[in-house]
Amino acid sequence: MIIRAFSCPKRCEQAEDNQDCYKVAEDSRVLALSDGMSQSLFPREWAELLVKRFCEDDTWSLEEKDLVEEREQWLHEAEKRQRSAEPRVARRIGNALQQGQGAGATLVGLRFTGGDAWEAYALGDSSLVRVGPRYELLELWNSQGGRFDNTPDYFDALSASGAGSPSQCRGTLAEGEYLLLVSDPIGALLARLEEDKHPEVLRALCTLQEEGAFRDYVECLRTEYGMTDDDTTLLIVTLGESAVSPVEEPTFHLASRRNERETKMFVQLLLAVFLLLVVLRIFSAFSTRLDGGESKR
Amino acid sequence: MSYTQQWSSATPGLLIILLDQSGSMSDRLQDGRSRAEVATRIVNRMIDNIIARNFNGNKPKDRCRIIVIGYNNDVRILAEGSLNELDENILGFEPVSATSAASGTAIDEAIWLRPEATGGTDMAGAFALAAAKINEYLSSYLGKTMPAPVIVNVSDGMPNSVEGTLLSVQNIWNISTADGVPLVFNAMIAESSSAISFPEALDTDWECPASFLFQISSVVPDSMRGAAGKSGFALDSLSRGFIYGADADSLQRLIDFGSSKATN
Repeated sequence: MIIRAFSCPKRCEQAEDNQDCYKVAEDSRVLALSDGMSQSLFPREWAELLVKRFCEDDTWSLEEKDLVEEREQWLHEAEKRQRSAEPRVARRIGNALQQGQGAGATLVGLRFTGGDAWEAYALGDSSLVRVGPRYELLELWNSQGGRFDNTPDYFDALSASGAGSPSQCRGTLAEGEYLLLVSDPIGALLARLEEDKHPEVLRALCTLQEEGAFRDYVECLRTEYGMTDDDTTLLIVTLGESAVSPVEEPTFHLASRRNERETKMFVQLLLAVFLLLVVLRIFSAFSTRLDGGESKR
Repeated sequence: MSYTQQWSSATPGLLIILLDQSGSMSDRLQDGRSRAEVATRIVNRMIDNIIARNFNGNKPKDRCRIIVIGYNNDVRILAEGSLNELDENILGFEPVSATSAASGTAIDEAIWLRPEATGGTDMAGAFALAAAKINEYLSSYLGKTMPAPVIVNVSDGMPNSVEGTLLSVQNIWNISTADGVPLVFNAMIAESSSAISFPEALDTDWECPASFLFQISSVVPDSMRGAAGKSGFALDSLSRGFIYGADADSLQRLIDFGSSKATN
C-alpha cells in the first residue's frame, strides 16, 4: 500500500499558520485528517489531538464523549500559554476561554480493518473521495452529505456540544483505485466541478508525487478553477504501483521511513556479516596457532 | 457581483465604520445610557470581536483593515489600522458582564474610542471620506481580486443633508470591484423594545430616520445570508443590512474570515 500526504497553508501564510493536520500510522494502516477552524482558539493544537486519538485508538468511533482526556490536554495547553503570554495576548486567551470559545475542528479518518477492507469516520466537511482506475469520481463522502460552507460540523475543544453527528462508511480498496482524504477546499471543488468536463483534476491529484508539485497544483486550482484559498491537505492511498500511474518514488515520510528502515536493515546485515567474518578470522588464527603448537610438540 | 472573496491575509478586506457623534447622540435611552455610549460601545465591540475572530492564540491575522470615521460638524478618522495595529493600540479596558460566559465571571472589553456627542450630522461628508478611502484601498491592490469593502454606519437619525448623503452613498455604489460594489450597512441606535434586524421592506410605522437609513442600506448578498442564518437570523433575498435598536455586532458577523462555529 502506498500512502502519500501533502499539506499547504493559505496564500501569504506560513506553514506554522496551517490549521490542517494529518497523521498516518503506517503499521496499523490508519490515517486521519483534521481541519482546525480558523476562527477559533488554538485550532491546530486541537486538530493534532484529534488525529492522534484516531490513529492510536482503533476503538474510537468519533464519539464526542470519549474526548475527555483530549479536552483536558487542550485546556492545559491553552492555560499554560495564557500564563506565559504578554498581558494583551493573555487577555484574549482568557476572554475566549471564559466565553466558551474553544477550538473547533473537523475530522475524517480511515482504518484498514483486514486485507484491503476499510472503514471511514467523519465529522464536518473533511471528506473521503473514492476514485476509480480511470480517475473517475466514484464517491465524495463526508458527514454533512456533501455540504460545504464556512460553518461545518465540528468537535469542540471545550465541551461535548460541538455541531453535528459523526458518520461512518465502509468499503474495499480495489486494484487501481484511490482513496483520498481531503480538507474542504478540494472537497468543495470536486463537488462543484462537472466531473466529466474536468477529468484532469482527479488524475493530477491522484498522481501527485512530491510536495513542490502539490503546492504548484494547489495554486493552479486556486487560480484556474476557483478553489477556495484555504489551508489545503491531501492524503492519497492506493494499493500499489498501478499501471496507469506508476508511483516510482513516493516522497511522503512514510516512503522515507520505509527507505530508512530498509537502509537500516541493510547496514545491520552488513555489520553482522562483518562480525561473522571477524569471528571466523579469529577462530581460524587461533586454530592455526593451536595446530602450530601441537606440531612443535 | 458574487461577494465570495474571503477576507484573508492575502486579500485583506476593508471595513469602514462611520460613527455618528452629533449632539442628538447625547439623548438617553430608557436604560439610562446615552446613544453615544451605546454607539461607541457597539463600535468598540465590533473591532474587538473581529480581532478575536482572527486571533490564533498569539496574535490576530491581518485579514482586515478597519477605519473608523467620526462625524458631527466635522468628519475625521478616529482609528485606522490592520488588526495587529489596532490590537497594539488599545486605549484601555472596561469590565463587562459576559452573558454567554460558561463560568459566569466578567470579561473585559477593549476600548479604542470614547463617547462624544456634539454639533451637527455631516453624514454625507463621512460617506464621501469613506469613498475616498475605498478608492485608495482598491488602488493599492490593483490587479488583485479583493473582497468588496463594507461600510457600517452607526447613527441615531437624520443627516444634515439627506440629498447630499444619498449622493455620497450613490457614489460609493458606483465604485466597481470584481467582488461586487461596496456594501453599506446601517445600525440605528434606538430603544431595543422595538428592535428590527435585516428587514426586507420599509415599514410605514417607522420614524423618518429609520426609513432613510433603510433606504441607504445594501441588500445582504447571498453569500452572507448563510452566515446570518448561522447566527440566528432568517434572511430572504431582499433582506437589507439594517439593524434598528438591536445588537449591531451581528453586522460584522456577516463578514467571511474563514471557517467558524455556527454561533461565533
